[in-house]
Amino acid sequence: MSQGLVISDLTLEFAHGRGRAAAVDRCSLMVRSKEILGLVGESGSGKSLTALACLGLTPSNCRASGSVRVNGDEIVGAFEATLTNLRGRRIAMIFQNPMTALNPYFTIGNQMVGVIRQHFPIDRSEAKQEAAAALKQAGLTDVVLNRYPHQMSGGQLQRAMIAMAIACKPEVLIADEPTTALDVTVQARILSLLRSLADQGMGILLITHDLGVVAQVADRVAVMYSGRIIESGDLNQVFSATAHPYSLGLMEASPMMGMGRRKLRAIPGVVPDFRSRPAGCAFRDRCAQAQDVCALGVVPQTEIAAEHQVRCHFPIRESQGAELK
Amino acid sequence: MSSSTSSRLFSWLARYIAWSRRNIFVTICATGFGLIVLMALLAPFLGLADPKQIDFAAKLLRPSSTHWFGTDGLGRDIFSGVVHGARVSLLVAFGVVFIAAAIGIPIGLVSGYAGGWVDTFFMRISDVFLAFPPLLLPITLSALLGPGLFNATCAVAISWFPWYARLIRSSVLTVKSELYIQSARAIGTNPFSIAMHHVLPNSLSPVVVQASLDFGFAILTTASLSFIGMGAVPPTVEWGLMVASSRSVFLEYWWTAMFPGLAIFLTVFFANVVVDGVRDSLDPKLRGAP
Amino acid sequence: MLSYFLRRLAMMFLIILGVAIFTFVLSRALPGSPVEMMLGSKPTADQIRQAREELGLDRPVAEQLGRYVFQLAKGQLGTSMRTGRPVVEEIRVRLSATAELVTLALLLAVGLGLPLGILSAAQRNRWADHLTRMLAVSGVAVPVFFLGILLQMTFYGVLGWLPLQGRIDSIVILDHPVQAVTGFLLIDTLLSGNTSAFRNAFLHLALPTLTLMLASLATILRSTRNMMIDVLATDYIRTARAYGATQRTTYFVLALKPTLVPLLTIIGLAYGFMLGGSVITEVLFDWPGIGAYIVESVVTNDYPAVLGVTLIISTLYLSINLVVDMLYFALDPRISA
Repeated sequence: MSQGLVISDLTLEFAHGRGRAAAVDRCSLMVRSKEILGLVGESGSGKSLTALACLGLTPSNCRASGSVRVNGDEIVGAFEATLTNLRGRRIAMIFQNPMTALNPYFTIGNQMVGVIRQHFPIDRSEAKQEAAAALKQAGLTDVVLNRYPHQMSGGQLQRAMIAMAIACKPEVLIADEPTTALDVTVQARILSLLRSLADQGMGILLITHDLGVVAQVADRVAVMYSGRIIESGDLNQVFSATAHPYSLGLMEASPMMGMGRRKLRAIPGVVPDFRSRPAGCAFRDRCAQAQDVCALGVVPQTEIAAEHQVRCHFPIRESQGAELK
Repeated sequence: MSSSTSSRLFSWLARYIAWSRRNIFVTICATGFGLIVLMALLAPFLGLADPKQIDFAAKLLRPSSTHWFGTDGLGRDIFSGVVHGARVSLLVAFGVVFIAAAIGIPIGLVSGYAGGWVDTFFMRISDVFLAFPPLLLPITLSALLGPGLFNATCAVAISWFPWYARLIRSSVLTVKSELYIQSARAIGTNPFSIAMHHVLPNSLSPVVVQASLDFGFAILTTASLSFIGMGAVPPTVEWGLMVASSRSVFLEYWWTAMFPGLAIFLTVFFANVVVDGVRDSLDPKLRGAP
Repeated sequence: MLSYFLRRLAMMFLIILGVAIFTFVLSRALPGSPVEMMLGSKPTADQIRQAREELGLDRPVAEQLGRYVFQLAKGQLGTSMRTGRPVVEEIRVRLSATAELVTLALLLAVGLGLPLGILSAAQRNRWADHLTRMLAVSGVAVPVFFLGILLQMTFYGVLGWLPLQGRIDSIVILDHPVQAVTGFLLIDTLLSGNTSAFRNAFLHLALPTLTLMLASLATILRSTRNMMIDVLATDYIRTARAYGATQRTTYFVLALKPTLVPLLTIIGLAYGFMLGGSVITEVLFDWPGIGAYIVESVVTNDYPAVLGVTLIISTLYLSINLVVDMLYFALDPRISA
């Protein structure tokens, strides 16, 4: 089993009017092969930025520290030459909006062959065969090779993107909101495709704001709030024994099948901008059980069960019902 | 002035100063352009030599303390000529743009608003106008109207009005289908009133943009016409004409061509930079955060 | 696509007809009479009447127009009142002189403008970008005649490297005559191995070409830069980078095509602009081209010549626009496929 994706203490800082602020703050994650890790959070939580950091594609005004290792190779601070070799080959990413994510001036086949030949010294016809094989694996025929993006539907395009991602057989795949722009029925099929890829050996980091998506395919889940991982662990653990007040709030605010009839409850307040985060726990202003200690310093991570960590001074035990302000 | 007005003014001023510091180059060019405008406005009051005064005894003198830019083939002071020429050129450019818009806007408005065969008629006519490459039509029209700067101004304006008509027309077409126009019609407002009070104000911005971009082109076009003898005629003091009259002597007497030419270049340069700078800062695309 | 092309072609003919009528009306409205000019000083009333009859100028205007259009349909542009030669002939000779100049200027403008624009976009907001942007703004602000004069002062007046005016020295033509094949001196001299004429023609071409190309260079540079910056910010370029595309591949393959296709329109406009701008350049450099011909004809009220030139140039301009639009159609997969 390969090491997959290991993120340790990743911090992504931006300069702003009054100094520097971390949009992603000491994030640690691990995606092993054959598993899907769902990274959940609202917009502005820093999840997409984390994904970009795994490929070394953060904007130029962003300073990265910490470590991101793909199969042992370090991404943070690596030379551009190293990164172009790793991107697509060891770690690949699929993006949220498939309609704009592919070059409209070149055929799908052309783009895939370009990527394949970037990483393997083979000729065009061989590369084309590889591309066709990848398309097949993603559920498309090789007719797609000669199609232009505007001639395909959203679902087909996302499959084509996945095909491009798996063409070079990377160990790690990052899927950034892969189903958000698609219809629900198409969504299910894309998710099952991702599941089968994981079963065949890939490690997948699935980024989404939709808990329903996570519930369907993920093995493990991590919840991100204001740039920090506040809860992570095995899917069943986190869903049934939710420990962090924010995670619980998310659960209660998400319409999900299988949870019986219940009222959806919104979490009052808004996610703080990373530039004006309160000291201590970022969620304390919206949390019903916040105490004075929550305002002091970095909240340590507690392991409340095997395969279940939470970053809270007062994690919710099963006997307690959670109440929100 | 009440305190709230003065505090608003101050904040506006503060923002403007901050913008100027970020866009130093644009600010410098704006200052340059402002100086030229000032020069044009104050020309008759600066106590300069008469730019039309011919003095064969003083012909082709090098730049010196008496004649800062030297004298031309007829002994006229070039510095004075350049300063007075600013008046002419700026006035002409403004005239071109104004007349072109004044003709084009009503036509485009009517064409877009009325639609139907009126629209088709005007659009075919503008197609014919736009079939001429730049300068060709101004030359022919200029010859038709006769020599003189005013005629040249009209010639250029007439050549350009179809652009403005088209711009207004497409704005009108967009605005026409907007909901608030339909509701105005539904309550029975008369079409003329709709046109003037609703359609026109909302369609003007591309025209304003085009007009400001055209300002520099207007200066260049009229100067070019004067250069080939179809615009300003002596004794008018005009930069293009000054360069033209230097053609026989410029090789040995560089100042006769250099200063008027530089004047044209700098004026158009400053104007273009300022227009671009203002446009860029108003462009929401460029404002956005990462 | 074919139906679009045919429709555009039909429209073009209609517009040209419109141009013909428009110019005809204009030319009849031109002040002064060419007849007086032709006959010299103090013609008698009889002479005038006779000349007018010969030229068909005594007929009602509507009839004159009708005849003219009829002639046009037969491909005839009439005879120049100034020189007595067929207008078509004169235009043909002078057009090749302008064509050589404009084509060379356009090649230079694109050949320099495109790479500089890419460089500018790649080095955005660094010194290379600032320099090229300065060039772009200056290039558009410089009056063509002033640029020409500056170049003449420098390269002829001071350095003496290049000739002042003209297309080729008559001495060279006498000693080494050139067989006209294409009308382009550079090509014709090479075809017959006439190196001294080639060199002479080349030297004469240098300054006018530089003068004419600067404004277009500036426009192409600027458009390339802006378009490329927009392309570089797209999602699909981000995807390409995420899959390991190198800088070189990104700039010269993946971002280039999306930039080039819309750039074609700009290049077409530049070509048209140069057709007009050549007037100034040709007057300044005494270049025997169409631009100078227009000025001569207009000044002498030579109706057929003015009409003929206007029609030919407008047709050319419209054709170029049509070609550019069709190319756009063909090259943009979102429309053609």
